Amino acid sequence: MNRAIEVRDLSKSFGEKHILNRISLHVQEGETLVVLGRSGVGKSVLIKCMIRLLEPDNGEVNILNEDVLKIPDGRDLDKFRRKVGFLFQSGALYDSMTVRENLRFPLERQPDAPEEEEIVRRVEDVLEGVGLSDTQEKMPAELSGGMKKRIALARSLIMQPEVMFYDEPTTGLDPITSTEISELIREMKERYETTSLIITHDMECARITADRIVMMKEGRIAVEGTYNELKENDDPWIQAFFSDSKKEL
Amino acid sequence: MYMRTDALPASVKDFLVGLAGITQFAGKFFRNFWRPPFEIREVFYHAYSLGQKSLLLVGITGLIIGMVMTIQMRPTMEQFGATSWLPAMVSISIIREIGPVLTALICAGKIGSTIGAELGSMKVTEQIDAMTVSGTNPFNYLVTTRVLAVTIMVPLLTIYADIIALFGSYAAMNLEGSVSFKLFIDQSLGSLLFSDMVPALIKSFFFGFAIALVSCHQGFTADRGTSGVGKAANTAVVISSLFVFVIDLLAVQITQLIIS
Repeated sequence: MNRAIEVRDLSKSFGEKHILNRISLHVQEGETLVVLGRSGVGKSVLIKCMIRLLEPDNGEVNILNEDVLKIPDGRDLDKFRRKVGFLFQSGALYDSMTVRENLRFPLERQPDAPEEEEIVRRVEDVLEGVGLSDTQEKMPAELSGGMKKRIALARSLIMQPEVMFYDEPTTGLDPITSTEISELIREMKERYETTSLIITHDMECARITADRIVMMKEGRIAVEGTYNELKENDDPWIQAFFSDSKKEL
Repeated sequence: MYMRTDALPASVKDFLVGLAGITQFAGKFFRNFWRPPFEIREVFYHAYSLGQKSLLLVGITGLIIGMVMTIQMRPTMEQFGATSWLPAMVSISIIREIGPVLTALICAGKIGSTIGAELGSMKVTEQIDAMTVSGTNPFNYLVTTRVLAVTIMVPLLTIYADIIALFGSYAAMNLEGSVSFKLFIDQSLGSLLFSDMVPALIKSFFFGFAIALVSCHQGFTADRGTSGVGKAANTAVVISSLFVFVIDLLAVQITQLIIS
């Protein structure tokens, strides 16, 4: 199986503070990798560097056979980003637009934008997929936290990305909604056959979605394995995640 | 020869860094201006929305300034027996200087804070990042459209303010004495030259451009957190007002050079 994502020796510092310290990881095509770690360990910085929202200091990022850090800024980078979806921790819905406008926004602005009928079909399709078909005319302010996450997921999926990044998809949600979102992520992955990288510290989310888990500590990958392998590990640091998985780490 | 930047006071360094940031931002605007997609509908939307929001304030201020100038100048003009020159003096002052600068300052306050807060909140809630990662061009959609809209609207608002101010002046003239509207218009517009109106209108375009550019820059570079939004809105107003005065000074010098 091919590697859809490969990161080698990625480093990032903010001033004197080293956040990522020569981190390396890979994700196979169609696989879901969960990156676990305490708050502030650099998980979000890692995926933001991978999609060039932040520029890393050193290292290599290869996504879908493209050397991401060498793609020139501008049209080429935009073209690459259209193959990748990103779900933000806050959802980041455009609050001046309705749900329908939020979903249409990226589609309408592609150089080869689909026909109007295709746009309408895709909007209806993704909304049905996330179970919110009746929200097209609602504003983001009228939606609950869980609904916002679902719409944000729909907005990412409408571009039919080959790779999806999720930044803390269940943070700020109640346990029931968190589980629903995690299950939705798994369903969407199966439906659209995407490769996924999920940043989280929610063990329930990791249990539901992960094919494989890596755990970050001090800017490096400390441990790697499946959910069950990690659960059986005796290391107290690893067990801290399992014993108190709902607590903010 | 290079100067060591650590020898500069922090405030001077901050000022220079800010100025460099705005200059880079302006460069990005001109590079993106030619890059599709062209968001023409958004330009019209912002022109209408931002212009309409300032209409009442600009109108009221114009009316009051026209009246106040006429009332305050009248006694002096009477002393010299030159009351008949009053409409001409008021109209020249308003059209050359007070109309454009006052309108620009109102827009810097009203439009500048709106843009700074809007874009600042989009920045801190990661909405701009969301546009970026979806492969769209947030700069074109958010900045180019607003800069074009405000650059178009400030001169139009200036013309509107000038007209209202002249009406204010006419009303004030009639508070003491009676002047026919035709006579007032003949006297005030008859004394205006091409060189009074065109430079004023041209500098209004630059005022609009500077206000929008500075405000968009502040919003786009807002720090994380809600305090960053407030700071972006506030700094947008302060710096764009300062730019209005600097551009005005330059415009006056250039106009004088061209005329002479």
